[in-house]
Amino acid sequence: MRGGARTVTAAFIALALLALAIGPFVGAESIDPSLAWREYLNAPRGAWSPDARILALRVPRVLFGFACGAALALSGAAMQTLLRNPLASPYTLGVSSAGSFGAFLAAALAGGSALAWAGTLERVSALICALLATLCVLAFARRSTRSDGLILAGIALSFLFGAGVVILRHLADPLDLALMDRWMLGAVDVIGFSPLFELLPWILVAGFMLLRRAPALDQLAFDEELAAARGVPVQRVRRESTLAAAALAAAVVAVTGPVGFVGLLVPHAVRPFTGMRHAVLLPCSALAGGALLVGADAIARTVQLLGRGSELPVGAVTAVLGAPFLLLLLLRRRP
Amino acid sequence: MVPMTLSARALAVAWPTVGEVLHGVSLELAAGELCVLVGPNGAGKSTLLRALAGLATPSGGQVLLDGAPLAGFGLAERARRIGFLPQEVNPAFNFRAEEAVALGARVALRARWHETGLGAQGRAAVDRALGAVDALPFATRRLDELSGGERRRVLIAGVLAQEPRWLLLDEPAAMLDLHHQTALFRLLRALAADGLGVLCSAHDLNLASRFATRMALIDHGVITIDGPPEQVLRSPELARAFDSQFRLVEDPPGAPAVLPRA
Repeated sequence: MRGGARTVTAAFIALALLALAIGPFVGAESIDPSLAWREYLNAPRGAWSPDARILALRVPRVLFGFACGAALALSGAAMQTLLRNPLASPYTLGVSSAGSFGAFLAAALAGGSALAWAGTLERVSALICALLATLCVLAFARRSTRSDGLILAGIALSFLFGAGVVILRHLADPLDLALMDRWMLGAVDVIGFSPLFELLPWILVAGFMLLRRAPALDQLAFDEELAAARGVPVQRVRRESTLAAAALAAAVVAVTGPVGFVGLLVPHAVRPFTGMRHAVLLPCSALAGGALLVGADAIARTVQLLGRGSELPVGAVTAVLGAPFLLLLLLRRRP
Repeated sequence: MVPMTLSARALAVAWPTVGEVLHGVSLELAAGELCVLVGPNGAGKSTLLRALAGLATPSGGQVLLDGAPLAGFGLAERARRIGFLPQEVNPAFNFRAEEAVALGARVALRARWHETGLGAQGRAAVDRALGAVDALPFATRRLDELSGGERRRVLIAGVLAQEPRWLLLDEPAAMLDLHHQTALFRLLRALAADGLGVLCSAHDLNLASRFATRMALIDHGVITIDGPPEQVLRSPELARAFDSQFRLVEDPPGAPAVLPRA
């Protein structure tokens, strides 16, 4: 790909802006865009029409959904390169099961049944467990002489925390089980801007760490020994970038629960346009991931199956959209 | 004037689980030489090339670049001087040929991480390298659409695009057809004549001896003979290394060649 990097990036920026612009106006309740925007931006809160009030609920949710999608896709693109495995996702190293375990453990220790999920305690505990799991995986991989040590350690830790989740579910109050199930499906239905502001520093720091290593990731995606011969400090780049990618996923999982498929799919969808240069691939994956999750969440808000008055979990929507897409890719050439 | 050499001094290298593979190897490669490393499977050719590229930590002895310990060079500095092609390269993703070569060109560019483009200079280096190995016709094809030999040529182009002063190639001629084998060795000799130091391993003793300015035989982790190709081909060390499974012929008279025994 020559000279097209700017055009491709511009197209992905346009896609992201389009999703952000349309997103707030899609949902079970239709609203008048111009009225809602005018009041939302200018009128005092007390004088809002229902349209503006609905918009005020959707705007932070759309922005948060975009940030989550961006973080997951960025993390997935980096993980696929770092693990040299096109099937890797942000959750391959056990971040999602460790995060779920952390959230459930906090809820169990707090002792309340049917407590408010995704409270601060659960979030912090989920984040800590997910990060600890990642550090554990990195420590094991460092002591292993195997080149696939990272992915094997990740799978082992994933099963370990998965078992922890099963045990906590077994001990849980039956009323909590439904909430746990719901959490495991993933949702971005946040209220207010604070979850977004909590997530942004993670995205900025980890995103910068990955982007700074983009040329090294290019080399790693090609060949490890060749990368080393070309001056890439392979072990250091791998540790640093894996930690950044896992932290991105952990920060998302702690709030939303594991939203699947975005991190696995988006990099595959983006690569044919961007090529293998991570300086283009990573930002474009983030933009596309954000747009995808905003779209999926709009569908989740809108579709009310069998007249059931509750929203679909966005994780189910991304999986329904994602799985056929992955099968389609499979019929095409090797990624 | 600093001597232009890349050398191994009493180099010993051990791999975990395998044990010591090189037992005190000394080899000095000078700029302008095309030295071909020959020897049986598992003799230590790849390990020596890796160690000279700085990718193996010696358990004894050292590698010197222009008289200074290689270990003292920064990674980027080392990569700009020494280009290394491993015997096997396994891309995790399906790169286009020109993308693969561009990875080499970036090494020479001293680009910072945010300078993502190759620029005119980098693109020229990619095209030069692809042209040198006759790979321009499939520059935009993906690696898995290429034949084994075509892929190999693209990988060689990637190392050439690094524009190093020292070239270390592990079996560059493997999988190449006869035409491209000779074209490759002609290219390597021309690069040596331009002042590069080239060290490569090869199994085709005849091909190697026709083009090399020097041959080194490595057997069971030590260099047993090192000299002009005719001398190495006629040596008892070579016969011993390959268990005398060949017959020496002269073609034309004065130029030895080996034929396998049936």
